[in-house]
Amino acid sequence: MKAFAILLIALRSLRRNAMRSLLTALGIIIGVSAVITMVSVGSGARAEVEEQVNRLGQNVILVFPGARSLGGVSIGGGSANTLTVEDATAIQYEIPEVIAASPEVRSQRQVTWGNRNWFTRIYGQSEDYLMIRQWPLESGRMFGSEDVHRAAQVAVIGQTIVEELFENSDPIGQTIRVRGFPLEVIGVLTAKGMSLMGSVQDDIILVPHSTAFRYISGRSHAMVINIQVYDSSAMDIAREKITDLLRERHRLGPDQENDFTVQTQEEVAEMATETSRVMTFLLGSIAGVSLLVGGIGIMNIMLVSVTERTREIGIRMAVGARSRDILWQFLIEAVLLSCFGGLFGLLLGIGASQVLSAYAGWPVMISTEAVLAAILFSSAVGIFFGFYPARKASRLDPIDALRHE
Amino acid sequence: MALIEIDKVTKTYDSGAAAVRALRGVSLSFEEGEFVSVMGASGSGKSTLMNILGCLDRPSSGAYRLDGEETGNLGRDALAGIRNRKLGFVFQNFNLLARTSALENIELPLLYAHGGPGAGEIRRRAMEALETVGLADRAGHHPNQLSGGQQQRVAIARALVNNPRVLLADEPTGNLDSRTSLEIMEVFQRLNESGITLLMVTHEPDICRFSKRMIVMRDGLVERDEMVRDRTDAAAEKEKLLGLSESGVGR
Repeated sequence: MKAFAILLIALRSLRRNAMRSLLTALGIIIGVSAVITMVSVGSGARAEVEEQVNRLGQNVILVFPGARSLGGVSIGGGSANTLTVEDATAIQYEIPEVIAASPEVRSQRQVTWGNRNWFTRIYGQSEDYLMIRQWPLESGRMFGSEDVHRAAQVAVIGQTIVEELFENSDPIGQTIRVRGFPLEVIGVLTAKGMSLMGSVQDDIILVPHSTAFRYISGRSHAMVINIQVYDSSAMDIAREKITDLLRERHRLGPDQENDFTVQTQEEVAEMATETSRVMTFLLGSIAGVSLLVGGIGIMNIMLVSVTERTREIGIRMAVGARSRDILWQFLIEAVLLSCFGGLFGLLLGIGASQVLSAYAGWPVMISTEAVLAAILFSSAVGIFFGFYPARKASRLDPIDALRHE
Repeated sequence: MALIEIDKVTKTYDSGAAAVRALRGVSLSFEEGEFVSVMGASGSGKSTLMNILGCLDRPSSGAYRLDGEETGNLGRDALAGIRNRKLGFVFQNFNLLARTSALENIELPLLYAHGGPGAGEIRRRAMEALETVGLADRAGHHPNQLSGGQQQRVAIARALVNNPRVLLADEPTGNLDSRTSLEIMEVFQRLNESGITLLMVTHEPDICRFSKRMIVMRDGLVERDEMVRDRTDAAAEKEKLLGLSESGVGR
């Protein structure tokens, strides 16, 4: 018997029970689309995390003050006041591998311009911060070492501030106020977009750290020191030297633990991607379970359908269908159902992913592997769960089948 | 050589403790072009005989030669091949596939034909068969849109589409009223005249009169095997019936 004939028979049979076919395929449709969507969201999240870690800059080392750790998990980083501006200066000038070090101090403040106001984050940094972060300016200039030295009342602002305070008019040369303290806008940053946690990175004002310490934050110690090393091969040695230097500066004895934490960009990246990898896996396996349930649904319907269609099988056998013709028919029906479901689910999943990225703003990345896996798995489901009912059908006795009511 | 030959065929069903001997040694032969009706009370073994002749079942013992081919030792799939190539079936309850057009029902045996024709040829031959039974205008209709007589004619077209050596009919008029039964018998007689061999099981003596040869079964044995003497012409009978009903209306 020709392949086309079997295919034709199976297709006609599915069309004859269009509603049942659709409902049967629904399980697979939902399963596959869930897998595609979940894995897309997961991969999107991972890509976003990687992207963000890269945006930290190249060859970056971060020093956090007094982070205590519990089983390797940082629990109270930044709580201690151990890092000073002098520490940052010392790191920059005493360690040859380090190109730049910027002490960071953050505060959240209400900012006003004219009759408008906006609540934002103010970062005190050194003049090298944009180089470390590889964050270009859109217009104006970054504050220089002179501005840092004399705690100049200048600010570089992010795109969100331009939109919210200045309504997209040119902010260069304007004076904004932080609790009455005036800052002249000298530069505008390029847009960076949203971070994974949903915070808008462009919602930021950069000022010299000296200005931040003296007039704005009310703090005396750095929250982080951002460090750039000249080459990735020097990361480990730089890290050792930074640790030694800080231990010496903080006068820590040999039996005392570090009152700071040194982390390279890669470590931050690993932690972040590991987290999102686990999330992707979890989401994917939950969706996988629904695919399995869909497969069992197909077997269920096919089994019921063998009983319900016993007479039909008898008729087919009477006109000359051999056992394997019947076997193939039912198997191909099941495979067609699951492949149709898989294909439809694939489109639905891609659609849902697009909708999620368009309306919810989630980063979404449709992975070829997930698509291939979903299609392969759904046809495998068809063969696996279709075989038993198909074999049952093919073994019916023609006379009994014909007499079946 | 006869088209169909069975020799001392027995069939025993093992139903629990008691074995049922449905056929107890039946020997018959049918020539090409015959129109045979098999009569008998229920339990006489006529259905079992029909199943064996139709290669749906195998005899417990004895020989069955169809068109020169010994079928006694053939397996399931080989029997399916014989059913497909050499036999056509017409059933009491029509046994058409539901929600499937008349044409697609007729195409069915061709789809299962080993090394059969291509899609275009299949359609052409199915249409031809449908024309033979006078239902060319009903090709796209589903069984539930057809009357009982029309359904049975579609079933006959399906049985004929593979040009079988023998047409087997199991109570073909059992579910039909007398006028439609006449129509079906008319089709059968016409087919028989064109050379098709017909074997028909029936329990209605009236229907039996349209065939050429009558076999009566009883308790698993052939009781009578004789030519039909008062053979009736279905077409003429139908004319008579139509005339009667018209004069009935006139009164």
